[in-house]
Amino acid sequence: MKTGYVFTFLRKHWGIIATLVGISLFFGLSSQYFFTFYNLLNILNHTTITLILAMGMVFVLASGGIDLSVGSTLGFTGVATALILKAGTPPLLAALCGIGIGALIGAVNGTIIAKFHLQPFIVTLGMLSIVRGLALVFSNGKPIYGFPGIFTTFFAGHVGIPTNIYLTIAIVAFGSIVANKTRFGLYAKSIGGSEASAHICGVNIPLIVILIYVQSGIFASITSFIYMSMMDAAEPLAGLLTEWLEAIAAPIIGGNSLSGGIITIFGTIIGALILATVRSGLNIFGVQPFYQQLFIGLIIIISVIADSIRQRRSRLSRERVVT
Amino acid sequence: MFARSRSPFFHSYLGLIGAVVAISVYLSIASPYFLKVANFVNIGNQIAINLIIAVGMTLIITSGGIDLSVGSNVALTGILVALFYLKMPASSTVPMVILGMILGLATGTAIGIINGLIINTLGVPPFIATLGTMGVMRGLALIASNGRVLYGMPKGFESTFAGFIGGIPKPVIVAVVIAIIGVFILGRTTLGRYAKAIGGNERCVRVCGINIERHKITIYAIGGCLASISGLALTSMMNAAEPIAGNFYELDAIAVVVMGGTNLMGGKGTMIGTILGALLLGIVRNGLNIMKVPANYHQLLVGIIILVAVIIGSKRSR
Repeated sequence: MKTGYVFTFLRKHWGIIATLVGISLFFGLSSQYFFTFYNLLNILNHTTITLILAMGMVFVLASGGIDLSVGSTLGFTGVATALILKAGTPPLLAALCGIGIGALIGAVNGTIIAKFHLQPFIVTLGMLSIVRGLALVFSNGKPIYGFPGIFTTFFAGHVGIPTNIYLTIAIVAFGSIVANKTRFGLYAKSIGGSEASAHICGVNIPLIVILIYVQSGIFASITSFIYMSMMDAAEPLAGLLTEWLEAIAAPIIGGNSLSGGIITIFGTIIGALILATVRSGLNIFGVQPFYQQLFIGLIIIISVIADSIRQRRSRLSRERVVT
Repeated sequence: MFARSRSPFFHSYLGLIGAVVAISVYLSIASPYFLKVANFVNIGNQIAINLIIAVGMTLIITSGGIDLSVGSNVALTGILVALFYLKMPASSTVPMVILGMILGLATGTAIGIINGLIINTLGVPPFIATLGTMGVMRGLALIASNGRVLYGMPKGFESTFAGFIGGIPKPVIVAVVIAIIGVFILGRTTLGRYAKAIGGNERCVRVCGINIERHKITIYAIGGCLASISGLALTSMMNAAEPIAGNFYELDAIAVVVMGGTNLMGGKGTMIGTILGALLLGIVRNGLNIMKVPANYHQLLVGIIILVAVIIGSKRSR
């Protein structure tokens, strides 16, 4: 039973595991710096931001939606929290305010999507613009510096390993439990699988959709705390492009479907690690940032092609069983 | 075109037309700059660049797809054409100038065909496939130009899109012609009808024995080709090719298409709506500039307008 579980698990994820191992081996064999403790820690450190954003995104994707506004939310909650901190508010209260703002942005997204039956793509595209605008207006376009030490230590300090890694592990564990063990996770998947059936089964679809986007907003605000603590500055343009793109790319590489209905937390972790590993390896090689964009684009395409081939094969085998 | 739409023309576009007229009237009263010829040229050129891309995007979204790579396409086209002119001998002669532009169009069309092939033959969702090509093409543009802005194109190329014919800026004429062709393609041709049908129910169209693959690839090729026309116009107008040109153009184009009333899920598309959406966004952007609204507020207000337009549109369609 136990080995059977491991076997199916490996069969489901062998593609991305092999990709991660292959990429790591390639970089490890070609550079002596790759497999150093410091570099591996660095990779994990850079994975945290993508991964926390992705934990919100997997539920959004599972419900058949998409959230383009997470990068802007990251930027704005960072700016807002920084301003609240600078006003002399205790760090804990400031962080709670930041989380509240993230939740509010998510609630607006979710409400518009659920109540007006609008496309998540276009709603969150509008919010992307609005929230980034708010970040620019409130910060006056300039980075904000100087936070209390306790705030930056909590979100990007060192206790053996960077504290944001502990935080990420906690959030991933939370996401995994919510996805697999709670009714909320089940409902999120059921909405993406078939909204009509979910409705007939009595799922309160608007409520679940709003909660899904609220969760995404909250995770984006937590990411902003890490980001501003790492940089020791809250930038209005934080999370402009790569962050939200990777927050969508990591789950997709990991095998979450854009059309909804499934959540794979393990795949998402591997997807985020693949992206961070490639970035780190290219940096070690001294490859220009230009090429990095090229490679990341290629990896997204290749992994999705692999996924679609796998899906087609499993669909074929299923159809064969039926006939 | 008027007779075919089920609801009367003015009824279905009343909101957009009203918004365009209201904002224009407000701006012409509130600002002495709005009704100036120079300002109209400015608005026209800005709208033209966006509209040319949005016409292709309308076709793609109607067929149930999406193309995020158009912005990178604009940049790569500009860079490759500029490199062609800078590296080739005798590049200022007329045949070479024309050859360069053909190269640009071929680049864009090829990107579109690649998108279509990845989406069709490999069954990758359009969002992700074009997200990938967006990264790849932007990377190629940066690599080919080494991250620098390229100057010094021949005069013949510069003057293709710069200047006026009969007092109207050339990019505007190009955009108008393309928009009219777009209205025709979507409303009157088999390709347009198949685009709507594929977006509405792909399986059904397949069962009817229609070659979906060919039509989809054609649609993405048209989208890519139009993006490269926009890239040529931009490069020619700026007299420089930037590797980061066209950043976020895809989002502008998609916003305009959806504001116009095209359904993001496919099956329902309106080219007239796209044209009105592009007008609205262009006038709003211009208004923010001439009313001297601080730049930091622009993004905020544009986002609000997109959301409001889409919410009103969704009520209208129901």
